[in-house]
Amino acid sequence: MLLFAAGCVGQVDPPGPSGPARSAAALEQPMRRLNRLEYNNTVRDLLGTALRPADAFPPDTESGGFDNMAEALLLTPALLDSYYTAAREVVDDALDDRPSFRVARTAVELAVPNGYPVGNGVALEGSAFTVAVTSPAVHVSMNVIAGGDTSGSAPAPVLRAELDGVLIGDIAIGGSAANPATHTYPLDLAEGAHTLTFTPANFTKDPASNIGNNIFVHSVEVRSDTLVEGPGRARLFVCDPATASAAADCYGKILENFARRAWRRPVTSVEAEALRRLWTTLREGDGVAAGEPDDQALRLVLRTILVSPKFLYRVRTIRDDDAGEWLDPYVLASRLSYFLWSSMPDDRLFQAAEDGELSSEEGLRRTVAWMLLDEKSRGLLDGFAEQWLATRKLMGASPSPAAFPDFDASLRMSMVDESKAFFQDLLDGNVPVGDLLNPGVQYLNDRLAAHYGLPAVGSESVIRVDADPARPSGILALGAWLTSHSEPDHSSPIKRGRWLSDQVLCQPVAPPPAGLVVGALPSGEGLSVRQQLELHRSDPVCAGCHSRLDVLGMGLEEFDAVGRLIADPALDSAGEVPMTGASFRGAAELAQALEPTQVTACMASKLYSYALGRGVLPEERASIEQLAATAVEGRQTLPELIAALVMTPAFRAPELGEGEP
Amino acid sequence: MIRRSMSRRRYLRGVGGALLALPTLEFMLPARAAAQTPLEKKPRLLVFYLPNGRRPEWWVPAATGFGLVFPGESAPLQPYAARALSIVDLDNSAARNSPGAAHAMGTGTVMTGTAIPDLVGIKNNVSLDQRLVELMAPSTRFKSLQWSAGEPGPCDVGGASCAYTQSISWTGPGRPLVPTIDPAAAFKRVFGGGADGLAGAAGETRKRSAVSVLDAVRTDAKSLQTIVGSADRRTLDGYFTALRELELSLSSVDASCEVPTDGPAGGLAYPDRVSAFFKLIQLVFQCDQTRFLSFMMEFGLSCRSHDFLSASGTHHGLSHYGSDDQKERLRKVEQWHSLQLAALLDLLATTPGAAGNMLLDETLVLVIPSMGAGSNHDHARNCPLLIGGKNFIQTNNRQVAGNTELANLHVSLLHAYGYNETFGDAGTAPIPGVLV
Repeated sequence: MLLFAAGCVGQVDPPGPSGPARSAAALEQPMRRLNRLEYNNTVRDLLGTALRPADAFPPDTESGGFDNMAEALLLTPALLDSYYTAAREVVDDALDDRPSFRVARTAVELAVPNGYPVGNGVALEGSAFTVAVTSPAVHVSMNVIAGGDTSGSAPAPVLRAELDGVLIGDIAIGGSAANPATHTYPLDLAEGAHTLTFTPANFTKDPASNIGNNIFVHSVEVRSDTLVEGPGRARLFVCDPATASAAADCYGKILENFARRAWRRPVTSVEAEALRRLWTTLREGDGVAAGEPDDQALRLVLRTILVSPKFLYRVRTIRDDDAGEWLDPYVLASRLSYFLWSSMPDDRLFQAAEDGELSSEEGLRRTVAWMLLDEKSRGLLDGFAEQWLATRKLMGASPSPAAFPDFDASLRMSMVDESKAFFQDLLDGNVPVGDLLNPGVQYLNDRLAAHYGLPAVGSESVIRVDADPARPSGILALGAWLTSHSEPDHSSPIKRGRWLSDQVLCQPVAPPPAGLVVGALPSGEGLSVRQQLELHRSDPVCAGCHSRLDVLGMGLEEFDAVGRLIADPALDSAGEVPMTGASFRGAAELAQALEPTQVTACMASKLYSYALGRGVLPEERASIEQLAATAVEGRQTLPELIAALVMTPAFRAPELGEGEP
Repeated sequence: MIRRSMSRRRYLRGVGGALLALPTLEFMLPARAAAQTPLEKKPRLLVFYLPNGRRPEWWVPAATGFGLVFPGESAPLQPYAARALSIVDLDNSAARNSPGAAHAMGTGTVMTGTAIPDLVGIKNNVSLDQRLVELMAPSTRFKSLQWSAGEPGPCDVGGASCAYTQSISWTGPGRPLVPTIDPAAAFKRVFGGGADGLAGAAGETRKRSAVSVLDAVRTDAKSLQTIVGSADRRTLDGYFTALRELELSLSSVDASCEVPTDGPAGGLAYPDRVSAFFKLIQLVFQCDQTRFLSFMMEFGLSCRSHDFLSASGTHHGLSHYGSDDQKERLRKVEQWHSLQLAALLDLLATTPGAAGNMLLDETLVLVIPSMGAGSNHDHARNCPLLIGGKNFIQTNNRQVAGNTELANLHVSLLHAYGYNETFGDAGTAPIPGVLV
């Protein structure tokens, strides 16, 4: 128990897949699988697809607070199967011709009042519904995929379709709920906003006599008859097989070019030849049976490229062209793009790698600067900020509907946007990293302002406003983490204490010791929050860690379980910073009680760990603290801090353990 | 392969019958062809996991002169008493000997029986189901499947990897099998077919093409193996294992099994996901697509708020209830879990399998909570249930007082499957009264 207590009071090594005891050899970068976000973004940039197939993949194992840690990103048979299927879907989506204009609503997306789901359709039960379409001037086909059901002497169901109040037709619904039919009508749409209205024209329901009819709508689609080529064509077809003198050569070029982008480095002649050979094999068949058409053979080889470990992983190999202090420029390009964009390098970054721009300090700084200005730097918000600031956790949080009836989807999204705007502002360099605790600005929309009890800001989307003194500003007062680290119907000093320890102070609590037996908790009824926590801590087993967590979290009791300030003069919110013993009440005082350098160093080490896909090593800590101290003193911006992190040898130089094949 | 359209309307009707009157069950289910391979003698194994422990007073049946009598909270399981074996007070010492992130360690070790020495990286060892897969090398399309209706959530204190709360099936140290959590994706994997939806000659061509594609992938990956470090070569070994399983699943679609063409929709709400997975379990068993399946109702440390049961509050929080009101809400959650388990058993008990058997006759269901009572993280008194599996073990209205290592249950099952070996850190001998 003494050991346990000591473990809690002292500095604890940040948990990470790599842990504290490491040798130089451990600095080798292991193969790093693309996580779900990186996969989605990569196929988007590689092929131009808008599909997000990875959303349905098994979850990526999170470790050390992030889901991009190399050692935790394992591959299961189920996941490889998903990759195989997804590769076909994204290739087809990118290369298939598609309507120049298309709007489609599935049953789930059709808001049918009183409708109820039946299979993949929605039963209308007599309800009308509408579909909003904003279009250019275009000739379209409207496809209503629906089935009908008739019992007794009821009439066969008819669905009346209207465009902006003008009758399109009365659709005699064919098919059944299980096997719906496609009902097609041609329409000419003028440019602008339109409303399609669908009304059951002869709904009948007499259950007592078993007479009735119903309509089951599976989807409504409006699509132009004119087709345009898929977005992948322009990216992939570096030549036109139809006009090339030798089609096979052209396909070979297409494949080599695609493999270079998908594998994120130049392709060897052996690799290029293997891809060509595979295309030929697929096309020619086995001599007995027929082969695939040219285009299908191409798609199959593209699929092969996307299932290769060279695509699914970022790999260091003995072929890498390291040069002294500088990593192979293509490896470094991928390191940069997955750090800053959560995606593959684009043409400009590939060009920078080729030109040697990534092999000098000035060139690297220039590159980081323009990469952060690119809109793909949104990836740093979706990957890093979502996890660091707990907005992903907020998406899964369940504030009690009884206790907080006005906590709805719009408020939830407003809180997500608040935290993301906070990080975006740092990323835009508007707030120095040393001002994380007290930036003097807030990020609000009217919904959030009303929720926080602040004056309206006159915007539906979250905007940056000068901080209202009625509410603290900065990381400590962000609604997303405060809400997601609460119980559904009340705040949780323990969870908030833990979040602050982990994410703001980087002093995570050690795990409870092996063999810990937790007694039944005494009833807390009739006790204040503090009394309940003290009762909990009266067990010396719990006291070791909870004395650190609870007192820290207690200081933010001024926020309720959905992040609102509580206006109660009698509120008990006396907190204490465990390391320094400084006492505080509320976020504003905590912001004063903390060292900006420590908080900035904590954020820097999170970024460093996220960038490298491993935990921070003990011997690296001092240099990160030094970077943070420099940044705070020099009032540096986040892009400057990121550039400094990129410049560290761990990021941009070959590993110390080099040499092992 | 003959495919008959089976709508999701029918699809959902099979579970719970909530929407419409039940049709005859056989109508909507794929018919087994008369001529099929004789059923292997050993039953398939379904591991059914429940998070945040189970309070014994709502869960463990009383052993009476009339057999097992389930408490009111688990009354829906009473019809299965005659086919159940209740084992009480098994000690998951592996969890107790692991650094105490109780839910990560309880969940992570409950099927592996191996203590986690520290939280650096990902440790652990092979789980019972995967050890059996190794030993039996089943010839089904899928060696095993892992599914969960849960969603990733918090993963316990002290930096324990989420792998411990999210996986009960492990193929070895550091190799968790993370479950598929989307029933639509699970359906697509099992029943999506190997010919990209192409039929006729084009489909035949595509099947041959798939072989060429995967051969090329393997050759390509092998060339990579020669130019990476030793740790990466181990990573690639895992890739090759997965590739072999992919080939197997693409190459051998069971022609005796008609499969539905459309599965569950994407984006289902949690209770619908549970139902959809149950229906999928029924289907994959009926089509004999795998003989080992583990299902996690939720991930360990689940913090779901069961608002649809009027039991708001995180499940984990409620498991440490501090008031009668919270305890009552926990009761609703555990009651609902029993009800769901019974719904799954109903499906398996009424769906014909081979040779006059129902699926439950040819399936052993191991229901295992992450621990005993969740309120005090009671790893020392885990109370699993074994149901089904005709004439395989003593699932016949019996209760066995365990008072022994949980890993000895795993040893018992290894013996039942014909493998006399030890298991985990402390599994040395079968528990008396389990084997026939």
